[in-house]
Amino acid sequence: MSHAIITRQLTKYYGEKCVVNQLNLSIPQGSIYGFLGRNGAGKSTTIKMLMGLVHPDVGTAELLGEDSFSICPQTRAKIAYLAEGHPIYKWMSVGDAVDFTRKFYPVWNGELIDQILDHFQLPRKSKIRKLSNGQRAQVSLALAVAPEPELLILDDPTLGLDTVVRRDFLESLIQIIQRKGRTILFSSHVLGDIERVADRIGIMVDGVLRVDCPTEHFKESLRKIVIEFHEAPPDFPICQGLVGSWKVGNRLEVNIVGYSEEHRRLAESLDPLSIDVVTLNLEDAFIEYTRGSRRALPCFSGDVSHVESNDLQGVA
Amino acid sequence: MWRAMIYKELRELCGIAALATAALFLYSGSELRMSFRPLFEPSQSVPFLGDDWYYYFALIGIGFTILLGFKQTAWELWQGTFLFLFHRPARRNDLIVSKLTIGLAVYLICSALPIVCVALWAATPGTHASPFEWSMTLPMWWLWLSLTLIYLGAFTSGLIDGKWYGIRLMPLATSFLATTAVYFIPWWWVGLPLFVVSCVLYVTAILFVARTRDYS
Repeated sequence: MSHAIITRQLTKYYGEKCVVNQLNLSIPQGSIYGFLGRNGAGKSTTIKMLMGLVHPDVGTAELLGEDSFSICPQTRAKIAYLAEGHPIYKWMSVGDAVDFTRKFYPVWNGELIDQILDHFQLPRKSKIRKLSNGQRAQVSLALAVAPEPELLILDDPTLGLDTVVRRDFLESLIQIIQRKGRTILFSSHVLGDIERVADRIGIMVDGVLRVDCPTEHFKESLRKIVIEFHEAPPDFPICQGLVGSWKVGNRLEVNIVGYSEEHRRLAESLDPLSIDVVTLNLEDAFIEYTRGSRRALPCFSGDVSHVESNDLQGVA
Repeated sequence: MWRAMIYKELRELCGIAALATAALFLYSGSELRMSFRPLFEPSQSVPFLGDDWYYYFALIGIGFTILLGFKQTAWELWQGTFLFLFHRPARRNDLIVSKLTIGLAVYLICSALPIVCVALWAATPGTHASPFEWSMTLPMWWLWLSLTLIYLGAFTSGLIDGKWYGIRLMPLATSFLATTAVYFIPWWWVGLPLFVVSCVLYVTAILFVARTRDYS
């Protein structure tokens, strides 16, 4: 299987802080990859390293088979990049931005861009500076897809958009960008956005890629156990798959990756009043996973049929 | 690519260029025996031999070149639009070279216009009671050319990445030294090579910084 994006040991420090730590990522061609993480997790830095805009301290990145720092213009024309915040020249009108961008590309689907602008009701004469964040995102999307790219890299394209605009933008995005063989890397800190689009997800936590698996697999693997007690609950014993535990009054909430009978026995050994196992939706699963004790998160990797928990030191 | 870049850069620089050209023309009025009180009185000196015009030309030229250089780099970094520009399918060096070429052309053309006007006026018989030779314009052309180093210094300073303003402003500060040296060295066969070497060093530094800095 050929890969559209490959990174090897990609590492970046800002001063003393390691913002991306030994990232190994392989995204097969034709897949839609949701790249998740909380603010400051290292998603944007990773994407900028992929785009050759930030130099890694260690490691390499390849896009469509070329090193990200020496991508030739012909290959770059096949890659679309929506930068965070949608930077476009604000003095330009929508029409100016289209004309300016078109001159760089050997392939340009003018009909498609007209359709998109029409769909979003964006007049060509409108000045970019007068557009809302959502409309700027729509212009960026139109400019990104007009050259018929093979690979789309979208850095938090819904950042700053309100719920309605975000939903509308995502639905249009899915309609516009889903084409057979097109690879998409979509970063966001809102998992609901990813859930609609991605067939595979990666979750960065403090610069480390902790999850890299099919979307459904992640959702099914994480369980929340709610254990009720008569009085103040005890600590949950350290075990394989433990993400984190929280005491809420007489209740102990425990997040577990790969919930099994062994976990149930451990819960029962605490002599509780009741034990409830809650299935989480993807957004809740993401929140529960990323708010856990960060250094000790169990990792999801590969197309796993089992869940590994190889880093459990210090779990509370 | 070039057509797109020419359009973009000219559109972005036209405000600064218009302002600077107007200021240069205004102060050239002194040389043309015009009066704009309280800004200046008509010059009494022989055209191209008085100090005042050189002083104002240098002052406005320095401001013009610094604004041009920073507008093309620091402004673009601040707006985040380098992320948009550098993802276009063109080599980064080509994009930077196009910016430099257009910026230099804007400075050289806009600031040459008042010199040409004053020279043509001075060369026209009956306009002033003093001698005129075309060679008298050379020091002004030399000043005009020397100021390109300030533009290159400002461009480098706007682009360079550094924690401290001292590091960022170093190229601009050194460009003042280089311009002063190039302009005041009395031997052209020393000044000209110094100018060419300085230009080459600045352009090399600009391309190196553009390639190696992070755009985060």
